[in-house]
Order: sequence, then C-alpha cells, then structure tokens
Amino acid sequence: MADPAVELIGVSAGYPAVGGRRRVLDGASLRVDAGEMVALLGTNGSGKTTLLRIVAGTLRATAGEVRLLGRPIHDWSRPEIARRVAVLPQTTDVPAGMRVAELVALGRIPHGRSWFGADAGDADAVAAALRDADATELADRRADELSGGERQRVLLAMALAQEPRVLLLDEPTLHLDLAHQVALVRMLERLRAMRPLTVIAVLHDLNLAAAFADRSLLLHDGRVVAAGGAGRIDAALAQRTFGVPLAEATAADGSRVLALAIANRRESPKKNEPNADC
Amino acid sequence: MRAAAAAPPIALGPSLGRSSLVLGTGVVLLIVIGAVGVTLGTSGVALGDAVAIVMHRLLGIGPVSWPASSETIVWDLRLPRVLAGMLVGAGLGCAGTVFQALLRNPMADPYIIGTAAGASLGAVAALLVPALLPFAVGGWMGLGLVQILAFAGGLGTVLVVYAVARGQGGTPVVTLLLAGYAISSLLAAGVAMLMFVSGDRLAAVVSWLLGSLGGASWPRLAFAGPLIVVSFALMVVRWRGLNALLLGEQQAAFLGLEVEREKRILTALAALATSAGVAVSGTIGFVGLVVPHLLRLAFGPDHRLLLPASMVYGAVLLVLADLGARLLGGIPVGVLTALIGAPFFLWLLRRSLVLRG
Repeated sequence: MADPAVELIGVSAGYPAVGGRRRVLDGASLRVDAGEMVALLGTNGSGKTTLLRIVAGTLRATAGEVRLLGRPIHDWSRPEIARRVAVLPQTTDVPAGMRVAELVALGRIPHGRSWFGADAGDADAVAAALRDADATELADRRADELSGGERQRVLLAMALAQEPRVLLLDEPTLHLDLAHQVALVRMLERLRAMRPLTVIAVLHDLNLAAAFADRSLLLHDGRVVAAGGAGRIDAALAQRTFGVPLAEATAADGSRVLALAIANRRESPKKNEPNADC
Repeated sequence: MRAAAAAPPIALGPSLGRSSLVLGTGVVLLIVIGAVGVTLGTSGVALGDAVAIVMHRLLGIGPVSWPASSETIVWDLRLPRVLAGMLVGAGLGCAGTVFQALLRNPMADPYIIGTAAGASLGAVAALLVPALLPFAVGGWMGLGLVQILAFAGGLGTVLVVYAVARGQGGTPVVTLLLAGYAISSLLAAGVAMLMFVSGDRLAAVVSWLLGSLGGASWPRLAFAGPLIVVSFALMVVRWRGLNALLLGEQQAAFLGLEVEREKRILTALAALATSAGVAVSGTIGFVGLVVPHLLRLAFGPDHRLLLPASMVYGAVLLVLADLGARLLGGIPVGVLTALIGAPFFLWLLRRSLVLRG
C-alpha cells in the first residue's frame, strides 16, 4: 500500500503558557492518503491551526510521530518541507507596493537556487499557479489593492507556486461571502483534478465540508474524530461538539444538509420587551 | 501543468534594466558628489589636481605639480572624510533596510535596538577615561579608545538586548523593541550621568554625540570599511529570507525559512554594520530611517534591489549632507541630516496620507 501523504500518530502539541505548557493536541492521530481532500472541523481553540502547523513542520510535536510522504517530517529540512507542503493561512501581511506576480513568485523561495533572479522553471511555475488559481489577469495589479476574493486567489496562487504535494488551508472561506466561498471550494476541486494535490482544509461550514471533502474530521478534546465521509456529516456528533441544535433537511437536489435549528425569537415577543420601533 | 509558450513573460522581480538604471544613477551621483566633496571647501583644490594627487598616491604615477598643502588637504583630510561618509551612509542605509524588514516597522532605524545608546556610552566613557584615570590610555592600530569602545558598546548592547528578549519559543519582535527601548534608556541615563560629571570635557562629549565625519582617517576607514562591506555582502545574499519576512514570520516559516535563525543572523549583521559606522562618525540620525523608506516607496519592497540601492543612496545622502555641513561652517552633520530629514519625512508621511485618501 502506498505511503499516506500525511500521517500523525498520537501527536501532542501545545504552546508555552504561564505555569507550564498549554496542551492543544493530546494524542491526535490522523491519516490522509495522497490525493484526498479532507475537511477539518472543530470549535474555536480546538487545535485546528495547531494541527496545520504540525503538518507544515513549523511547530514540533511534544509527543507522537508526524510523517510526511512516508518519512518522519523532521528528516526533511525546512525548505524541503516547503517544497512539499504549502499553507494558505488565515491572515497574511501583504507587503505594500508589490505586484501580484512578484508576490506569487515568493512561493518559489523554497526552490531558490540561483543567487539572484528567477530561472525559467520559476517563471513557468508562477504562470501555472496564476492560471490554476484563476488569477492570471491580476498579475500586474498591486497586491495591496485587491478585493478579499481576489486576494485569496492570489495567496492560493502563491501556495501553488511552491508546487506542493500537500496543500493546507486555514479557514480559506473566512471573510468571503457565500458566492466566493463556493467559488473557492469549487476551485480546490478543479485544482485536485489538475495537480496531484492532497488537501487538508479547515472549514467552518458543515455543509460546505460535506459537499466538497472526501472525508470530514472533527477535532475534539485534542483528538481527531471521524465525522463523516463524502456528502455527510454525523449530525449527532456535530451537535455534541459544537453544542448547538442542528436539524437535518433535504436540499433542492435531494442531498441531505444540516441547518442551525434556532427558532426565530421575533415570532413570539414577550409583552414587557421594548418595541423595536422606538 | 506548464504555461503555454505563447503566454507573455511575467516579471517576477525587479528587472535587470531597471535595477541597473537605479544603481548606476546612484553610483554616478556618488562619484560626482564625492569629487565635489574632495575639491570644494574653504581652500579649493582644482579637480585635475585632486585626481592627479589620488593617482599619484595610489599608483605612484605623474609628476608632482601641486603645492604640498593641496596634497595634505586632499589625501589626509577630504578624501578620507568623503570615503567615511560613503561607508557610514552605506552601512546605515542597508542596516536600516534590514531592521525595517526584520521588525516590520517603518519607524525602525539602525539604532533602534540599542546600537546608538551602547555606542554613545562607550564613546563618552572613553572620552572621559583620560580625565578619570591618572594614566592615559593609548590607541590601537590608529584607532582611539573612543572608536573601540563605541564599536564594542554598540554591538555588545544589541547582543544583550537580543539575549534579554529571547524566550523559549523565539524572539518576538515586540519584545525585542521593548527590550531595546528599556536598555537604551538605561544606557542613556549612564551617558547623562557621565556628561554631568564631565566638567571641561563636556564639549568633546557633546561634539561626539552630535555625530561628525570630521574625525575620519585612513586607519579608521581600514577598520570600518571591511566590516561594513562584508556585512553588506552577507545581508544581500540573504534577500530571499528578507523577502519572505515581508509576509510575516509565520508565512516566512511556511516558505521554508528558519525564521529565528535568520533573525539572529540578520540582526547581528545589521548591528555590525551600524556599530562599525558609529565608531567612525558617532550617531547620525535619519539616514538609516529615510533612505530605505523612500526607496521602498519608489522601487518596491524587493530586497534584491532595495538593499543595494539603500547602500548606494545612503552613501550619496550622507556625503551630500556632510558637504553641506562643511560648507555651512562646520555644523555637525547629524544636526543637518535631522534638520533636513525630519521635515522631509513629515512631508512624505502627509503625502502618503493624502494618497490613501
């Protein structure tokens, strides 16, 4: 059997804190096969970002084993990891005065060999990344003057310029409206058809996760729990984890979706409540 | 996977033509201003004589057709001074660029994490030692105790600041800035105390603190020159790391950078260039702040162009400022750079506000 792209075995990790360490991951195990797209769900602070940092090798596990493409991750050097794993973070500083093509070219840094300038391979990789992220027409724009959706595509192009085997996305749909959220996830789907990519994406929208991921995983109490295969999320498990009532419904195309089941409180106002008009 | 061959080429960084133009213009300016600096002054020397003197001294060619006083003025006084201006300005320009990138703070200058305070305390202490000790302390290889202690004080302070700010998970930029500020304040109190007890040496102390290229000499150049040139070369080959840091430390790490190691190396190199410069000239403000800032606005943040340009234009600015200071009756060059630099910087600030709406 082929080596999994990413494998975590009993991984614990955390951060220095007052009076010791704050442990975020506690014996988390995970296996993502090459070419899979996995959605990572969990409450705020459940360790989703920490897990991505472990897989990207920028945070070391305090216990357990992390394997990347069949090798212990820290057998690779930092640039070697960055040539295999790219991250689209939640937030990134976009340097003032840089053009989009130059920004995307920063994704070539881990591949850099020549003293100055870029070689033909770099130019090809940047052009392909811009094209695949649907950002070619932005190449000459100033990166600090883009809209939220354009910016996200450009940062995705920068990650693709690394020519990664594993793409990690930390809440890529944050700050995007519904149309852009769906467009971004569709783009990930297209990318997987074009490139040999394994994708791990932190998502908040359960339906988006169910619709686009091969599997959904839930981070709970520092561990990874399976939450459902393609097209479905375990409603009872999600309800327990997030602590909110969820209801299953059937969408127009017949697929099952989960909806937040909070009744509209405006329908039965209490008599002593102030009138909204005054 | 690859782009179609017909796709137009995409510029991935500063083009060779543009970089050559920017740097070439700077070098020409530098040569012109340097020549003016060597020939102009209270007693003028013809450009032809100046060139002949330099050729004669360097290569031993040409008949001597100038008065001996011209040779002293050109070779012993003005040329070292102009070269010192170039060196110190270049060092401040590239150190300022590196600190602004490392600290991701446009207000950062080469002195920000303690170089100025440490060098000042070292220099002032050295100035007062002969007065405080019964025996005089001699120089070393043409360097006075002032230069040695200024250099050691500047570099040593940055190392101490870095050690103080360094924690288990790395060295946060904010902690570095705050530690630099606190330790600078402590050392500034020491400088003030020494000034208070300096008695009739106060004029010498104040003169050093204001910054001047008047003390430039060949031995001092021979000391600072290699340090500044080597640290510049080592900074410029790290352009990838500096460019990655433009995206923030987290993303730089995702791009394969050993962030903490890179920060340590770059801080040490920038502090080395700054301290070597301070040893020659004292502290000279605004060059290291304004030059990188201005060049970044004009030519973008890519360090492949920004670092060499900061070096060349830092040199241009300081030689020009020193020429002005000399022609204005020998006012300290540090006063002139602040006098011109501060209003200019304010204008720039207002302009960027207006442009942003």
